[in-house]
Amino acid sequence: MFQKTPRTRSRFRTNNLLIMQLSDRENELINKFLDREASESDLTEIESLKNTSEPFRVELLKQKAIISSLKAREKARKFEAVRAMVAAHAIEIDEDLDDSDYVVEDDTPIISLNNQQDSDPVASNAEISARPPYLRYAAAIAVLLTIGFLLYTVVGGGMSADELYVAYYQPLDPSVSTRSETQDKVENPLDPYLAGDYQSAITTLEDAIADTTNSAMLSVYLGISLLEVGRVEDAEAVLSEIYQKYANDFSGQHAEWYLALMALKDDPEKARQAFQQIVDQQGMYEGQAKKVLEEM
Amino acid sequence: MLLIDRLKNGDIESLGLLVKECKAVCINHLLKKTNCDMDTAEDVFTEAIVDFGEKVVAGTVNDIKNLKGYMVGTCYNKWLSNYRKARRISEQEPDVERYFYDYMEPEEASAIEEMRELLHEVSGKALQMLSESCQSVIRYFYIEERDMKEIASLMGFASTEVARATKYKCFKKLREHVAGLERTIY
Repeated sequence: MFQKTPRTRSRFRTNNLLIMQLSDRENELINKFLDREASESDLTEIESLKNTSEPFRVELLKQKAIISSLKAREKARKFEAVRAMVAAHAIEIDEDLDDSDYVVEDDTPIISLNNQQDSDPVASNAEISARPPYLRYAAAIAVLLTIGFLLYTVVGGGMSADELYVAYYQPLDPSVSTRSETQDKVENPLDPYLAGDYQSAITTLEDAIADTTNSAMLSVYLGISLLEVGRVEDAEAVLSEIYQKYANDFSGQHAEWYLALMALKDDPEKARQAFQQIVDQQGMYEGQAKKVLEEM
Repeated sequence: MLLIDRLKNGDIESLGLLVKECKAVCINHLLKKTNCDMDTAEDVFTEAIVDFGEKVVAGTVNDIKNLKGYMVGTCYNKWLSNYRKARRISEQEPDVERYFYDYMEPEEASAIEEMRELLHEVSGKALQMLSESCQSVIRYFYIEERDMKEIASLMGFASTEVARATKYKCFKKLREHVAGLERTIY
């Protein structure tokens, strides 16, 4: 499909030799960008340089690729090490598995991450109540596998805010969004998001939002991408704006849901109020919000 | 030593405790609920354990009351996510192709991909060429995403500013080593 040409390769080679010729300011901008410390004006300058300076654009691309490579290598190293442990630990296949195998009982060993010595992994479970089998609920939630699973893990009761967040949070799937600009006009900017490359998604989505007048859903994806890379305050700002502008639209409902999940991390009471509001509004997240409230 | 401290010290072996604790229930759950094969189930479980360790180090997960339930849920979510991603990739190949044609010259797209593969190949070697302290700083900041305060404490630097300046110098050296290795390959 794509032809490799000596012309392009030589262009990259040339740029490689030019890297030391970037100005101090250009190097500073790249450094700030990679360290997620670029201000709004820095980002504007970076965008401008990307369009006007080939060495800058290539250097930025290369440094991002180096960091991605280092992360990927480390991940692969950890994966191989843990995979070997997994393979070495024999288990019996249990075809009669039921919920009692992983719903907490009074004598279930617990590993506490902050308070327990790992030489003594069995903690007191006095604070953990026995839970009813979740399977009684499973039939009622078989319509959507994902939602079903969320109920499946949560129905037992007593999950912490972190566990609730992890159980309910997942990046919004564009394939279940309403038809709008995401499918008609600007599908391409979602490619990095779909691939899980949220850092790149932020750039492509910001560009796409700047180019369209109907960008509410794109802003939701931008907010989620910001959340995924740890820019929580930026994510909150983007999602709050969408929620305030489009509270009655699908985009506003998505934003409201993610804002409520984010509140779980910092302020459970605020989160409780947010989930209650979602329930009262009877929108698309009503069912899930009810379940979270039951569990809180 | 606490599990969380062992993980923060890069002790991957400490994850063996979680493997022992959770493998049977997670694998059996995946086999039963997704009908996947054993290899897939073990891969998914491994990913979940690695991710869990990273989240613990990053401080985004703590106070797990029901570890088995948590890991069962994480494994299932991960399997579902992998399944959806695989389905999307297979469905969207034509769009990806169009993306490249729409936004850049075909040969440029190819060259960028080639450049990424090359950098992947040389970046590990370049890291090894740095001093041990530089490797640690790069690892702490870019791979483990620790903040400067923590890095300063771990490395015994006088302040976060010293840590920041050291990180900058080390990454610059890394970049130079990568450039040198690139030249030997081109």
